[in-house]
Amino acid sequence: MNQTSPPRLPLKLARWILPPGRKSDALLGDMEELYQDRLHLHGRLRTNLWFLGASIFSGLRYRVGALSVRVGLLQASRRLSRRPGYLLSTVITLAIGFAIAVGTFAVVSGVLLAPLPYPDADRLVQIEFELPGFPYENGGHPIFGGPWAHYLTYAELSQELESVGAYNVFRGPFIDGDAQPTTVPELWTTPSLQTTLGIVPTRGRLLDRSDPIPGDEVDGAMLFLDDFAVSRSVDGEAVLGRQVHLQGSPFRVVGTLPAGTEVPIGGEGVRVWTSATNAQIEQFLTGFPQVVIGRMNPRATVESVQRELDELIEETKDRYPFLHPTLNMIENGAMRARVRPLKDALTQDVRRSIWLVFGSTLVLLTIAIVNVTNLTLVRADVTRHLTATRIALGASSGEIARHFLAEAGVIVGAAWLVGMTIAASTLELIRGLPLEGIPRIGTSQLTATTWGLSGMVALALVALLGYAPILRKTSISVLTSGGKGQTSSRAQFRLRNALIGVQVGMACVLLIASALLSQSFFATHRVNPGFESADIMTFRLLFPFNETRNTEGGDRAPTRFFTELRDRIARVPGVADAGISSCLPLDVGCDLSGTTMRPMDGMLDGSDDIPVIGFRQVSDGYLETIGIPVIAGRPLERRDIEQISNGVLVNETLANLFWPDSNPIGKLIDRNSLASRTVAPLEVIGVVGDVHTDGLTSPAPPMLYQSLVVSEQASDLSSVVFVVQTEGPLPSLVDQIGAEVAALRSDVPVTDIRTLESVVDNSTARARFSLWLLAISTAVALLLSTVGIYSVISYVVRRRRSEFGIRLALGAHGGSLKSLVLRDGAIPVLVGLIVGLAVALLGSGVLSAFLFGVAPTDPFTYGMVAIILIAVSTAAAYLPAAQASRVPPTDALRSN
Amino acid sequence: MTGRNFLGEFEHMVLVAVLQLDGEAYGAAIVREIESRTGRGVPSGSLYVTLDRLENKGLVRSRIGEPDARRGGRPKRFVTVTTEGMQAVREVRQAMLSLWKGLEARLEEKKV
Repeated sequence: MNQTSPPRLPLKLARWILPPGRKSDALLGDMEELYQDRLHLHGRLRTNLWFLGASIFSGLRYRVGALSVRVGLLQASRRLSRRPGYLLSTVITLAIGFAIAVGTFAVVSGVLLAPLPYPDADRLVQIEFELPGFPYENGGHPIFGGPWAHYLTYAELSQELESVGAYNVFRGPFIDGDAQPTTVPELWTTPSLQTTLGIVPTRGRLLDRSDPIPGDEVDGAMLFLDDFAVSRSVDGEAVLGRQVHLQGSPFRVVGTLPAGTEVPIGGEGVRVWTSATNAQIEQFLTGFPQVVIGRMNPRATVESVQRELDELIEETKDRYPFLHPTLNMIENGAMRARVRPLKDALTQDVRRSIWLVFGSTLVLLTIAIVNVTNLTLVRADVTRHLTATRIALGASSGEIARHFLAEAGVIVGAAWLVGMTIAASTLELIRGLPLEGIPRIGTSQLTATTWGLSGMVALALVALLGYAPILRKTSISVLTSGGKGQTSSRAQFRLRNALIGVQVGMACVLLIASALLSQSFFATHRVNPGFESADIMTFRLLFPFNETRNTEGGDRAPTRFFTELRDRIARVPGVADAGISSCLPLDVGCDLSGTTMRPMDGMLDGSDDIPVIGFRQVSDGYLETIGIPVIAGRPLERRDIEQISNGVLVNETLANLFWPDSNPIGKLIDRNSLASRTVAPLEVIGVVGDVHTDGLTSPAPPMLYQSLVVSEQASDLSSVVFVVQTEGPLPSLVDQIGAEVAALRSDVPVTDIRTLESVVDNSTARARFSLWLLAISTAVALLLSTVGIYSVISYVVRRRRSEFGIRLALGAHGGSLKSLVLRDGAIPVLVGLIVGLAVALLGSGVLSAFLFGVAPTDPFTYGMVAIILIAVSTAAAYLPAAQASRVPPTDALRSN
Repeated sequence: MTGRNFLGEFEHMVLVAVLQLDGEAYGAAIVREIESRTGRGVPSGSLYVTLDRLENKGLVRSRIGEPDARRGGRPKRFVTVTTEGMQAVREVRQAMLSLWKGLEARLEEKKV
């Protein structure tokens, strides 16, 4: 007989819960038989999940027995409502534990576990290139698809990939009829992306390789997202065939896509799709698409695709011989295509920190459970004489069990409902937060799986809390609780102490982790970014370039427009200085303007290993405005822009890289890339300070500043960023800037108005988010442990009240009783602390990846945490200890 | 208690299902019978609680069978309906039929 046996754990749980006996055996047999039935119908995973829930439920149900569950719960609620302190503290503790654990689990499953919203999403891979000189793992980087030339080769030749698509996201001025121009994020994509992702249009057709249709007087075809069409009040078929202008070029709308259609990476807020034609791509062969996504054929694996792409390098070399410098880098391993499952690529930056936070919340949940278990044991102890009396009156063990299980059911049930409600509303809140750094966070919600799993945890908890008191029921007898057994037994004492130790140990680990992380966070903020951000406003300007793009010889109008605008803004009263750049430092979504270069003379000559150099175009006044110091030579001036000079500034890192031993001023740099083969070498006219453009914790990359040249070629800037420094707050600045822009041109939209401080803040948003979650968990954990210590010690003091009374009557000092209680309370705390410190030390390796500027074994942090925990637990023990020293001797007499 | 033979809805279902199985009634079989005829899920624990209660009322009798290798070496709990049980089912059926009398036509209308 071909039979799969059910998972053992649920059976063990059920057997543990069920009363011993042959009927219970038969019940387990039925469960196993029904398991086989379901296995054929529902498959393994679902059946196992069902089995887990059904085993626990059936076990509890049969144990609780014939008495109606509803009546039992009702009676239990009535009993508990007479002990509001116990009821509230347990429900609140558990509810907090549930809320935090369930909330973070929802984030885990939304961000990390849920499949991507594309058909057969597990066959999607991302193809990206590592660029030397740009540290990769450090968050906040744009991701790159490698040279277009390479893309064209594998798009055509790959056998392992069914289809490959590549795209860039642009933001350009969008003009539809007579309406005011707006800025619309545009997905500029190869039509093959649609096949790769399995996109289906709602109206019309998809983009096609042959777009635009010959004879149509437009530059390309365009798709609208449905919600975008609606927001422009064009619905129905009316949208099809419409002509609109984007970045100055005319486009024909050929179809619409479902509202909410998203590309996996970097496409937040995209409203329209346009096609990247091969003719356009040919112009950019050394340029990079931002993202390349492939769909593997059903038999291919990530490894086989990787092998194939490595092999295709030779082919690319033959096809595009003029790309040799770049290809050499690919070949010698400095720059290599990397293939990864799309979901991994999407979540790689956040995966570790999300798991870290989730782990910490599980620790918190455990602390909450331990705490409530301890409180329940204490309560069972207090009511021991009642239980003993009931046994003496003939209550069966089943009835006693039912009593405790019903109470546990009320507490856990209430806590679960409250916790889930809190979690649901918190998730709502989180979804509303501007968490740009965390992909897919918006999809975090309470799914059926989350409900189911948390429900099972709750059921198991009912079993635990219901059974903890009865495990020791053998010790309950009429004799010991008749009045003589006023001190707790040694075994109970040990169990409670052990539970306190566990809580303190866990709190210790959490405390150390979040202390280290917050130090690291503040260390990040102490990093000198290399520029000033106070009182600086930034905004982005887009210019309808096509007016000048087609003019042979290069029209200087846009450059003149931008520099003139810069001068006008600098003259606004209250404005200290203003400047223009192609890109802001630390701006997460900024284009990577990098290129391969080498010095005409220096060290790297002849080497294949050409570093990629960061590259900014800036106006005069830019470096001064954001406070980047000129260390040697002279800054860029207006005449450099006007004469299109070849003078450039380099930062210190670049100067040291190229000319470690000589004065860089006057040295020449070969722009070793295809697009500018004909351009004369660049001449270094000055050296400026380093800027952490890639994130505060990443080293400053080598950087080159060239004077602003706008719109001479299609490959030039599509937009620029202004920085404006004011002398103190200037609320009217935005309006004044708008007026200055409008005075020059009415059709140029001002977008992305932000302070530079918010750009800097944004770059650490993700670290801040996980730090917040961790800090909340830790604070709650500390609070719960304190409450736990307090309640257990005060219970012990109450139990020993008569003993203390006698001692005092016999002449003991109040002070000595106080220190006795404190000492007894300190032992489990110290043991827990030592174990916690040891665990934290052992686990410090896990944490080191998250830390910056602080060692994972930082002795100061460990010491502080130990002191804090000792102080807090002493405070928690102090109140009951003080009570012990004040017991009136008459109490001792009365209680006997 | 409203009478010795008062039957709850689920007790009623279990009794009838045991009768349907005609001597072959045991836990899992009863669960399957009720699920397939009513489409309603039955947790084994609830079934056992009900069987115990019916047994206490004297409406069913159960015996534990031999260990069965296909059930992880666990026995079956076979259930039969006692004479009192038969009587109770009969009474409930009578009561139900008389309550339903005259309503069939209206139910039919609803269906159309």
